[in-house]
Amino acid sequence: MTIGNEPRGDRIDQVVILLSRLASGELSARGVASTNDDDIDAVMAGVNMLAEELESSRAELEERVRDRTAEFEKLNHDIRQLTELSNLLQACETIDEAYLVIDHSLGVMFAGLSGAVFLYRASRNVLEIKSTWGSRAGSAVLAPTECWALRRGQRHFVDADEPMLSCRHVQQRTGDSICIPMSAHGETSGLLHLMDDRLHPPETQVGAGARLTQAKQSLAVAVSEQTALALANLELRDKLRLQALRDPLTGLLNRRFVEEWIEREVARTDHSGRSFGVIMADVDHFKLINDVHGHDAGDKLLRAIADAIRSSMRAGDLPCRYGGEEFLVLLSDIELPALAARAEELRSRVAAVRVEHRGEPVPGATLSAGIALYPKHGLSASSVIDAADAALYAAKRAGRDRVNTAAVRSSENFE
Amino acid sequence: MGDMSVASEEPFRVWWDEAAGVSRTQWAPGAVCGLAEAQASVAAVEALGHGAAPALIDMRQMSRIDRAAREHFTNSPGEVAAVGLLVGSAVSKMIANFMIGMQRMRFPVRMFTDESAALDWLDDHRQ
Repeated sequence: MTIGNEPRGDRIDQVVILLSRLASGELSARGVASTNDDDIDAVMAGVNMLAEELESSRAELEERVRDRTAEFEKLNHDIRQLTELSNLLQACETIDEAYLVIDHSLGVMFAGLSGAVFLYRASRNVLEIKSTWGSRAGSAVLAPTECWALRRGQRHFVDADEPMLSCRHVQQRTGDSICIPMSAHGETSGLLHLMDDRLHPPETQVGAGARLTQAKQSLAVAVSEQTALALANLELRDKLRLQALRDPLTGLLNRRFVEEWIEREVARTDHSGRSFGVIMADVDHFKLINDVHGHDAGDKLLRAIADAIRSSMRAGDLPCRYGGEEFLVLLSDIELPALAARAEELRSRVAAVRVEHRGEPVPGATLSAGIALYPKHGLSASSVIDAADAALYAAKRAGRDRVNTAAVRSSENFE
Repeated sequence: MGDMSVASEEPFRVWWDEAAGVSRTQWAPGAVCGLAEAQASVAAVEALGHGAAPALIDMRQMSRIDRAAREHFTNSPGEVAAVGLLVGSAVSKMIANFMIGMQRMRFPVRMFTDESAALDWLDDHRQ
């Protein structure tokens, strides 16, 4: 609509009104030109064009704010998931529990992507798969040389459009992929591998269609760090726990382990209605060996005896160094005849032990042993050990180098 | 005048000026240039088939050009060596000034009130 013959003052008022509306934020306001094609119309045209630019800029800014807000929300979501993963991993008591957490959490965090976590075997010559999700196809083990990330010690991204330097362990490429070494305490413990399916999107898979965006890659790096650290800490904890329960001289379990195990075994046996056995053994005249040949020779003999005890054990038997030259063997689900036979075998193997110290033979040792059965010879953990101990000293008194069975508990044992 | 491409429905006409070696676009009196008109005029110039030639746009009687049209003139991938904007009225001067000032053109653009001066300048920008 154009206006032809309005007075000049009215037309200037219209320009002022338009400017006021725009200044108040009404950026959709526009002025109406006259047919005069004069300076006032030129100003009106200029203001209209400026208003168009401002409106467009505002729309563009609002869109960018929306995009950025969505990005922040996504980032916030990722951080929450990462925190959740970290909390769960910290709550894990064992590495197997951690694998379960990794399996569940990474499948959720990287839904729509295929992926796998590989960890080094103890031999460190291959990595084996510990967790996998999505439609990943590939072998369950890989050699470190098959992965560029492991070879270079840094993340390796492959664009599906230019799949140069694709890792050999990737047998079927469905899209972009990334390999991230999992490192903690300066050591690489494994590999996190992710791939999207933008080349071959499945039609029906729930959650399909996710892309390996920069944000996902950053999340994967953080996940890799958290997971590697948690696994390393659990390994360290296991190692320390093991060290705390092992006797450093012989490598056998120690007395602390016996105390932990036997309480659990009493409860388990009460529940199952079966028995467990205890062999309490002591090296005869060991003090003499120490005094005559020195403590080094004594330690050497103790290690050899421990090896002999260990070699006479069967799966499930738990040999321990109870103190000094005293050994204790815990045997689950056993009856008295078998227990007596195992103790006798133990005694005879120790009797066959021969060691040398500084080129000189150390005299062979004999073993006295007492055996007791729970609940036959004691109704508690301590009473069954006491019963075996009493049987041991009865064996000593009877001339040593022999096995003696505990006396059946008397009525005083019932409390 | 050389070959001519005129779309009768459109508020402009486009032709090739053989003597000057430029494409010419002349907007009709009171013409309003929206996105559709901008696209049609650019396409008509390209259809002349002279590639990246100088272009003279006579917008002396144009009354309005909206933002989408301005964006199209700025971002259209069509080739052009240089553009002379021929203006006359206060409104056409404002439109031309706004386009030159606000838009980032990929080619030389200049505003003229004198046609022969515009042709001389365009002649200097022949590729």
